[in-house]
Amino acid sequence: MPNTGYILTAILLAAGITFALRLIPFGIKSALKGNALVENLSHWVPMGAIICLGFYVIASIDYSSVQTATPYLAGVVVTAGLHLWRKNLALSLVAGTAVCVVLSSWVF
Amino acid sequence: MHQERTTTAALPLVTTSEVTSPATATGALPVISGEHVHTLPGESSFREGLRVAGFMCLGFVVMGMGLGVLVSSYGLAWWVAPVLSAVVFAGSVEFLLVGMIAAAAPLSLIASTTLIMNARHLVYGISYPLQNVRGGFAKALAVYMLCDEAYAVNTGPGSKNYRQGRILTVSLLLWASWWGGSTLGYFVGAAFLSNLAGVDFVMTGMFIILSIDAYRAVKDHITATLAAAASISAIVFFPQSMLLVALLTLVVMLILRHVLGSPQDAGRNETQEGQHA
Repeated sequence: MPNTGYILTAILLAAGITFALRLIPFGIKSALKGNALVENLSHWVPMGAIICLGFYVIASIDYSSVQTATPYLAGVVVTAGLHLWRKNLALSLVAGTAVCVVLSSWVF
Repeated sequence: MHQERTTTAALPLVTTSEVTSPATATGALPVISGEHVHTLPGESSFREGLRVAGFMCLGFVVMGMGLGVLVSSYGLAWWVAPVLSAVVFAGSVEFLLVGMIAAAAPLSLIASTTLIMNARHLVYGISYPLQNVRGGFAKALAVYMLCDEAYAVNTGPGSKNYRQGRILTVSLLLWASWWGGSTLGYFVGAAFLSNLAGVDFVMTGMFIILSIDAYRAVKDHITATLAAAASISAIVFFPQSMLLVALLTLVVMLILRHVLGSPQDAGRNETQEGQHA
């Protein structure tokens, strides 16, 4: 585990940036209000960023061997399939993780 | 006629702002809209806050638990779960932070990722009813806890009449559910899942689910296609810093999309401005 000082610095940094982003618009309300670019980006970026994250987690799987990749890919298929079908976060997440854990621990 | 357009335009906006957020990703939760968010006669502002935020708090506990399980699966100390979730309090980016902190990622990467992931908050302040919250400390608290869900619940057609008690109750309940859930998740993970390989799939699964929910809520094909293109080219050309490159490319392409502006988008702006007015 990284040292405590680093962890706290990282957390405070992320928190500071987040707080600043939340605070700024109250100060420059009139400038932002009605700015078409800001409005459009606020509607487009959240979904786009989450989709990039979806690609990121799939790209982050360890593809160096069949043994490391298969459990995670199977988990992705189960999670996505269940979620498209039942739309239940807890169910999709628990089932996908269970498949990955079972395959990683006892099959591969 | 104009009034009608304004009211209906509010619904997609609320759904959009819920997308990136933890609780609403459950899909099973009711869409927060209409009478659900309005003040009932004679109801205390605390009970009102409890009523409008209740379901979301359950979702926060479940997703917070996922975050806690992830913290324990990376072998980080128990206090990282409550401290990270209570101090940052920004949903999806925290799942990334866990992995980056465990890998001792450079602070510049942590800062830039947080900046892009949370830049959506820049617009929440424009319409959040902060003027109803009195006193510097209470105002600071309301801004500090202005997550996607707090925005979705406290902003809407009737929000200029929302009382301070309701606004703060919603914020505090969501905040407590989030770090409470993540702390609980850490100990559940440490007690039952500590020696199992593959538990870190929680993060993979979470972002798959969030992607599906985000797309389902907005169904914006253009943004989805641009995001996929940005991601795939980043994977091919910059595999070592894929996420940052993908997010930056996406923002640049979306700015271009705005500049090139289709007539359809122009129409969207008009209704959105009407809604905030």
